[in-house]
Amino acid sequence: MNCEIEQVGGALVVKLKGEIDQHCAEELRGDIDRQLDIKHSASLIIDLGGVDFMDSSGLGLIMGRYRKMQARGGKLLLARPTPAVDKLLELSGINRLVGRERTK
Amino acid sequence: MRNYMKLEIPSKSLNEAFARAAVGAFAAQTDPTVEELADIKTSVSEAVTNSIIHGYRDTVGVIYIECEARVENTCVIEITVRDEGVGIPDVERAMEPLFTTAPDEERSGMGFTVMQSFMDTLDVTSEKGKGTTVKMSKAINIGTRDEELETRTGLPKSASEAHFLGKRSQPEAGETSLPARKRTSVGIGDDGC
Ligand SMILES: Nc1ncnc2c1ncn2[C@@H]1O[C@H](COP(=O)(O)OP(=O)(O)OP(=O)(O)O)[C@@H](O)[C@H]1O
Ligand SMILES: [Mg+2]
Repeated sequence: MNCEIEQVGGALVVKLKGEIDQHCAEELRGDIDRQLDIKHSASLIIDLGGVDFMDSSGLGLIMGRYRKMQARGGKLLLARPTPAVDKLLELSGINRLVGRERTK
Repeated sequence: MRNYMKLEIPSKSLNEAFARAAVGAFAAQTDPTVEELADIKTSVSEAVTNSIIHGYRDTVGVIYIECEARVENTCVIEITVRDEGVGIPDVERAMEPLFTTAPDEERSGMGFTVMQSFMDTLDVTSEKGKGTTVKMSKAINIGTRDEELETRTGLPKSASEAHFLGKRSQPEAGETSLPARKRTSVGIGDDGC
C-alpha cells in the first residue's frame, strides 16, 4: 500500500495505491488523520483509482474518516473506485452517505 | 475432477495478503471471471482477518485454510478457514450486518455480510474457547463460459473439462463489468451515524 497526500485548495487529496486490508489500515488512518489535523482541511478526497484490493477494513477506514469530517463540519468525497471496490461500497451503504468526486 | 490444497499460517496480519493471494491462485485454475476471483479473495481476506484480530486477539495462533475445487457440470470452490481462538458466543448475532465487538477500532461489522453476499454459501460454526470454522463455497459457472468459448474458438462444449485447471486464467477485455447479481445494499448509516 502506498499513499500520496496533498493539499489542493481547501481539500486534502489522498491517493491510495495497492491493497487495503487491516494490515495497513491503521497506518493509513494515522497518516491521513495527522495531515487533516495539520492542514485543517475543509474536505477530504480519497482517490481509490489505484486500489486493486479492498476488504471491510477499508470500509472501516472510510467510515471513520467520514465521521471525522462530519464532526468537524467538513465533508468526505470518494473518487474513481474500481468496479470491485465499488461493489463493496455499494453493499455497505457507504455510497448512499458519501459523495463522489467526479473529476479525473 | 477434484483438486485441493491446505495451508497453515500463523495469525500475523502480514499473512492476510499472502492467504488471499494463495487461495486466489488456486481458484484461478478454475477459470473464474475477474469478478468471481475478486469475490473469493475478498471473502478469504475477511475470514482470515477475523481469525487474526478476533480469534487470536491477544495471542498468535495457527490459521488453517483448506480449498477444494470440484468440477462436474459446474465448478464449485469450497474454502474453509479455521482457528482455535476465543470463539464466538452468539454466531447469529455476529453475522448481522454492522455488528462488531470492536467499534472503537473502526471495524465496520461488515465482514460476515461481505462473505455472505460475495459467496454462494456461508456456514459458521464456533464454540466459546475452542475456536471458529468458516466454510464457504462459490460456483464458478463454466456453463456459460463454454458457450462463450465455443463461439470464440469453435471448440465443442465437451472441451469444458479440458480448460479447467488449464489455460485461461487471465482476465479478458470486457470482463471487469459488474452484473447486478446479488448486490444488495445493507446500510452503514442506517443506525443514524
Ligand atoms: N474468528 C473469529 N473469532 C472470534 N470472534 C469472531 C471471529 N470472526 C468474527 N468474530 C466476531 O464476529 C463479529 C463480526 O465479525 P465481522 O467480520 O462481520 O465484523 P468485524 O470483524 O467486527 O468488522 P469488519 O469485518 O467490518 O472489519 C466480530 O466483531 C467478532 O466479535
Ligand atoms: Mg471482520
